[in-house]
Amino acid sequence: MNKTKARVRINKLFRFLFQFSGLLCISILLGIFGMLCYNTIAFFTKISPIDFITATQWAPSSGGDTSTYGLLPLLVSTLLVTSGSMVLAIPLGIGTALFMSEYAGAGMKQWLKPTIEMLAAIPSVVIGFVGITIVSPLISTLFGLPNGLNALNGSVLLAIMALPTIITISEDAIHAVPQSLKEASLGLGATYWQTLRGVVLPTAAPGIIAAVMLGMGRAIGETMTVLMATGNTLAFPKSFFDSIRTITATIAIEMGEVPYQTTHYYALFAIAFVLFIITMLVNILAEHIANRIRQFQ
Amino acid sequence: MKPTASHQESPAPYLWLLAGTLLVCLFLFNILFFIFFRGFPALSFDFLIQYPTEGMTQGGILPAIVGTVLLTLMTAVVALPFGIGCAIYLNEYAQDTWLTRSIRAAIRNLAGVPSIIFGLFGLALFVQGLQLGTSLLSAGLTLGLLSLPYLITTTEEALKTVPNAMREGALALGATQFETIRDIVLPQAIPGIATGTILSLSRAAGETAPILFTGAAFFITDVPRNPKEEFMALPYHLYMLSTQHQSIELVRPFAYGTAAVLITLVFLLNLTAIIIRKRYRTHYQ
Amino acid sequence: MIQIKHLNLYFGTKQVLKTIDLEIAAHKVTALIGPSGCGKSTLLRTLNRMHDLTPDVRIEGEIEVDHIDVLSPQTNVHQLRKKVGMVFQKPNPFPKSIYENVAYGLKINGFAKGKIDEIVEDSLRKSYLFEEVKDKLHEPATRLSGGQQQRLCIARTIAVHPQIILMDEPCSALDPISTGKIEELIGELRKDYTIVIVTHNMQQAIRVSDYTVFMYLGEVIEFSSTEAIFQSPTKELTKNYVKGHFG
Repeated sequence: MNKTKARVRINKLFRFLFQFSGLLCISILLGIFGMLCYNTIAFFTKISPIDFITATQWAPSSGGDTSTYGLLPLLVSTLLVTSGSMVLAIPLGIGTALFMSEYAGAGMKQWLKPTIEMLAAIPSVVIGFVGITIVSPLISTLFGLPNGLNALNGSVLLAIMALPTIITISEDAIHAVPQSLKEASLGLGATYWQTLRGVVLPTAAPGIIAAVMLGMGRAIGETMTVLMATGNTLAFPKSFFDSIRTITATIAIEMGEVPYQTTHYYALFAIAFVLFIITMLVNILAEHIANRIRQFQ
Repeated sequence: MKPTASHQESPAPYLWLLAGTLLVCLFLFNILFFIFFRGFPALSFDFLIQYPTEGMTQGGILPAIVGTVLLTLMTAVVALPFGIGCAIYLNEYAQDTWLTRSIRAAIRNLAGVPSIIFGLFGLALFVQGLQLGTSLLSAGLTLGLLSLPYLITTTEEALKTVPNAMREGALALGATQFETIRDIVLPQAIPGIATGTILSLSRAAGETAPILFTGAAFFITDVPRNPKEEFMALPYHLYMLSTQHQSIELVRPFAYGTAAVLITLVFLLNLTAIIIRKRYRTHYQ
Repeated sequence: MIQIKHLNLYFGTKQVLKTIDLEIAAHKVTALIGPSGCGKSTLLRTLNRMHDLTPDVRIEGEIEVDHIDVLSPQTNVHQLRKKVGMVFQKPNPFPKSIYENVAYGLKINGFAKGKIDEIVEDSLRKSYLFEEVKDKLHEPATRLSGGQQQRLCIARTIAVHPQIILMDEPCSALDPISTGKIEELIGELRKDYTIVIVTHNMQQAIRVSDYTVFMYLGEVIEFSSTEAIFQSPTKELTKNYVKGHFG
């Protein structure tokens, strides 16, 4: 029966090919990590890690001697614009999720869901463009500034980008709260709103936190919107009305121009490594929290 | 829970939440309205089929449209075999071992890696490491890797919808596992896989950061003829027009037009995916 | 035809089959009965190695089918399953045409087109389905009624010329009329095939089988001719079960 033998061999071959594709995913992640590590180490042979972490200026210059590569202004910019976006997106996102899950009727939901999906589908470069053309004039008129390309603008845009993630995942979490818990609370005489606040939200909290973390991860790593709408000034930001330069924007602006394998080139990988670690930690934490709820369910 | 009773009881929170939700919807409608309203004057048939001239102040965006289409196809060629292969491995073969757990963890983490880091990886590996240069090929490979996690997740969802009874039926006839997958599982999962593929490609088509250093160019007089050439792409074109052009105000209508075309392209892809999903649901229920 | 010696099966640490010894006769219908969870389906699925894909299964002992060592890793499982066909609890036709369903097992085994047409018709006739579907062979199988679907699954199974057909509660998802047709079909098939059928319906066991195995908590309690099991069971457990005291 040679025929069957051939079939069994093909079967084994494809099993191997499928497994290979799986292994590829691991190697991509390891490859990214390795590439970042390698170049970061190359950077640290030229600039000491302590200078990198403590210097308050990011001032690469082609001359070489006068350059300083300080992570702080970039990191603070990233954190500033991200926290601003979360201040806007968290209440709005959770509120919308709560409304969709608990108040909206089937007909309304039928419209809301695709709306959120469409918002998620808009490319980040378009959101950045909106930042230049709509949000910036708005900010400069409202606050009497010469232009509206600043951290506040970036926060508004990042909030819009993080909203779909926060809304979708929070809504799932809120929706998963058992009906019986709600009935128990209502049966004790609580009003519907008291039930939502006192029972539904706390029960769904781990899922909502995971949603916020994932939305935050997306905001931290976002490039195009902040690149286009925050002005990209290389200075230590003092307020939301200052122009800022995030880690992602710095890589996007400078990588195109640096010569291959110079200190400046390695420096950009070093800040990318910092970004990678931050987003990784945020995502792992989100997953950890999400896993803990699964254990309870 | 009847919504009517629940919001009459405490109208204030209801109204607040409603207002928040409407605000979120307003974001979307505002964005769409502005871009299409202001992009409309620039949009014409010529805009779609002409090369840019006079330093982008005249002509159209044909090379950017063609570039984005070619780039998306390249992404599909790279991502599809590995994405589907990996999803098949995870759903059809893998048991709960440390290896499959690490594959799943790797996919989840890859999904969270910022797109600009994929751009750096593409630069280091494809452009410089493998000497592919800044090209359609390098950019396609980079976007292919970027698309993998989402593609794998959606494909696995599609494979999960195929009932186990189908697999058992084929195996009981003496089919090998590969034959079962090829003849029984994949044909049934195809609508779901197609939906996932289109959605992940629509994401890739709108990406800018990963192609910044891997192959996108601001102005090229021709569409790329082979995968080793640089190319224009809609998202990159929009970025350059709106921030890097010498006379930004002069090309603003073109920027609106480009944004409108890009959004239309992405929404058309999404719409196709939704239609496939709907059809397939009604077909099987 | 089938010899089972000292068979033990564990799902993880839980023992599901306990030292089973059975000898199943050729060209007879053997029914496996017992309360749910007694391991009768598990036993049936061991005979064509359907447990291969289940994680955490451990099997000890020996099964021999027509001189093939079923449980040996060297045994070609695909050839074994060609020889030992299976019909499932719920009809599971592939989402393909009626013709394609029956032809599938032949195609993967590389039969020529003309030969396939011939066998498809023959198998559909043998499963009493041909007259009902001869004008719509290329329509989707999912349009057939439940009973027709199950007969199609039987046709699909006999198309690859098995020697043994395993049936796992083949009528539990069907109405009484379809059930009657399947039972009639089983009576016809026993001329050519050895049939092992799992059923929770004792009347069905009486109607279709020659031998009956009564299982309880993973053990074979009694194995005898169907008549003996239902008329004069020797064990107290069997007596209680067939009289409907539990299960």
